[in-house]
Amino acid sequence: MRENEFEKGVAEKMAEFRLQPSAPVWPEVERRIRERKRRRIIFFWFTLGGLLLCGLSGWWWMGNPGRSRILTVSKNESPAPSTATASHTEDRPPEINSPGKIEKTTVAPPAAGDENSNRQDVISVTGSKEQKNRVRAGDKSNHKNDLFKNLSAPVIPITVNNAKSGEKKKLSVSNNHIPASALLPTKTGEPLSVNTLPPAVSAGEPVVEKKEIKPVPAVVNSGEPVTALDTVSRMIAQKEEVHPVKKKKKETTHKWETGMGLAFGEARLSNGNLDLFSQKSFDLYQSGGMSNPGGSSYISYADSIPLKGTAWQAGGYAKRKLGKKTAFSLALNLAYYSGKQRVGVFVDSTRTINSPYFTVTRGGYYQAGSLSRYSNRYYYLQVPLLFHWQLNRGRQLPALDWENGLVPSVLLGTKALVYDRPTRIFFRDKEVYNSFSLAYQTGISALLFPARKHPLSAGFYYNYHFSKLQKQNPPEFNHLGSYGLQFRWILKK
Amino acid sequence: MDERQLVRNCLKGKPAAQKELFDRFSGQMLGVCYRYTKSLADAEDVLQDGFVKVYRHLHTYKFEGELGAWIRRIMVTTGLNFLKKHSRYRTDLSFDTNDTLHPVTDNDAEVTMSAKELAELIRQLPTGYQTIFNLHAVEGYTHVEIGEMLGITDGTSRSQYARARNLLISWVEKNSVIKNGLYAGK
Repeated sequence: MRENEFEKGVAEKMAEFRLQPSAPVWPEVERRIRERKRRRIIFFWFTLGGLLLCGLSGWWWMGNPGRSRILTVSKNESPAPSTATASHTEDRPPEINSPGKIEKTTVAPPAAGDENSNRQDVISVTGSKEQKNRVRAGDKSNHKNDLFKNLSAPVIPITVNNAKSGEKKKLSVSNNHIPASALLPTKTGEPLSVNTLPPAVSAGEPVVEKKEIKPVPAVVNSGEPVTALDTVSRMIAQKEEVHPVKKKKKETTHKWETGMGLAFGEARLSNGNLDLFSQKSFDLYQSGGMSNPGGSSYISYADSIPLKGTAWQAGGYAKRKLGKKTAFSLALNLAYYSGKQRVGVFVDSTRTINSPYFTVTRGGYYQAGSLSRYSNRYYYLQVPLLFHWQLNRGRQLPALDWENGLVPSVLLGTKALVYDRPTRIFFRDKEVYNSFSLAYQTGISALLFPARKHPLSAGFYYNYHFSKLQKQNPPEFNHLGSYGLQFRWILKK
Repeated sequence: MDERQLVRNCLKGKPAAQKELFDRFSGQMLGVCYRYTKSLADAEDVLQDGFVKVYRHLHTYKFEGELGAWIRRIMVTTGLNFLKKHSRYRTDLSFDTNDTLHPVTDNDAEVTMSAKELAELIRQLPTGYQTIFNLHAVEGYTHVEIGEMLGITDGTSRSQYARARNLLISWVEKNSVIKNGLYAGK
């Protein structure tokens, strides 16, 4: 409610008060409307792409043949017995002879020419009586699954010479399940022959074939008779061959990794909405003078242009593994950001700038205009603290590493211009900038040449400074950020 | 094209309709923004932000009341946010809550100057005075509403308004219109 005529008069006057906006206003409004639409579209496609990626990754992970390789049993009709091969996840502990387990066995062929020379797969059961009965009663529904679980002992193919006939026989013997009689040395120390072999073997006693980690050379002393003692010593030697390799691998895996990093790309100043990729029409917002139809000239938006330029970071880093797929890294980088600013003529004279925010005296300054371009430069010392997450297994495809973290930064120096709206001039003053800045950084990179001594990782990065660049008289676009390519050379792993 | 059709076309995303809406209201709205800020550049910034909000929230306009009044409210809100956001205004926008209540004087000062001159005078007021004067005398908000909008008590709003009003009346009477260096001379 208005008290009297004064208010009424003011309201009437103001109701008819109109000003014509300058030409760049509508294009800017239009651009922002369109940009919002474009952002929505980008967000939609990114989300869709992300979901697809997740779905594909899940599908690939679930159906990865490397996780549970299928047991393949080849049945060979040749007189020589085929070797049943089975593979499994390497980190699964062997569970041979555990109670109630079902074991795949292969009947070794009898002598050549025997009508029953075809191989037969039989199931031998160790465990409780009840479990044995269940299996013998024909409960074969879970045989395959159980076979996958239990076939984990290496197979040792051996060749046995028949001393009398000179015939060579190939047999497969497991070091975890060998007929006890086969391991007994002969009392007389005579060469072991088919005839002198224990009846279990010669009569086709099942010889267990277990999973095969590495095929071992099949023939032992092919020209000479083999004693049971030799067989045992071979098996022991083989065990010793396998295990030290694993130990060696453990010894060579370091938790700390060090290296050097280099990144380069484009730097942009944004207005705090994480819209680093927004593009304003640079030419539209020249810092030159404009005039409106009302007649008064003014400078508009000279400090609201999202300046862009080059950016790079270089330094060293140390990375420590936290888990199988996670790691933490600490780095020390020198970072450079730049942005090109349109300015007018340089005035080489002393001038004191009085503004509501500061009073400074400068020996030279640039007038507003679009005569030339000035490159604003900022140098930072950064300590990125990043958390790394390996997105895939890195077997078939290169290992993808997704990093996220914070980057505390200290402004080492700057060669940038500050724009003062009232006086319409650009001048240099380091004091108006925040000396400390906190940035968020993310990136994704792929490990290339992992087999080399110094592998290389390459990918993309994006960082955004939460902190304002300019603490006094802050312009609209006041948050530094950059994006581009990054490379890391692993020096020690 | 009537307003209803114009709004519908804007909602369909037709650029021509959006441009027409801007052309139809931008002059009046820039006048509103101009009264809340200290420079034309800032006023245009507010105008830009305001129109972006208008297009963004146009679907919420239910054709109840005039479209111009609806847009005007958005501009005023955007202007207030602008003042709060920018430090150069923020320091000047402090409201002294310990002020004693100033009774509104009953003098009927006649406003004979032009709208532009009067707007310039209003902009000469300290930001706090200027904001409250605009909200009450021009937009017609009550002091309670102003208190809610600015986060102050209605008593503070009344006292600030009384001071602003007295100051402005004295300037009008003296007809001391300052045309240039509005902001730099502060």
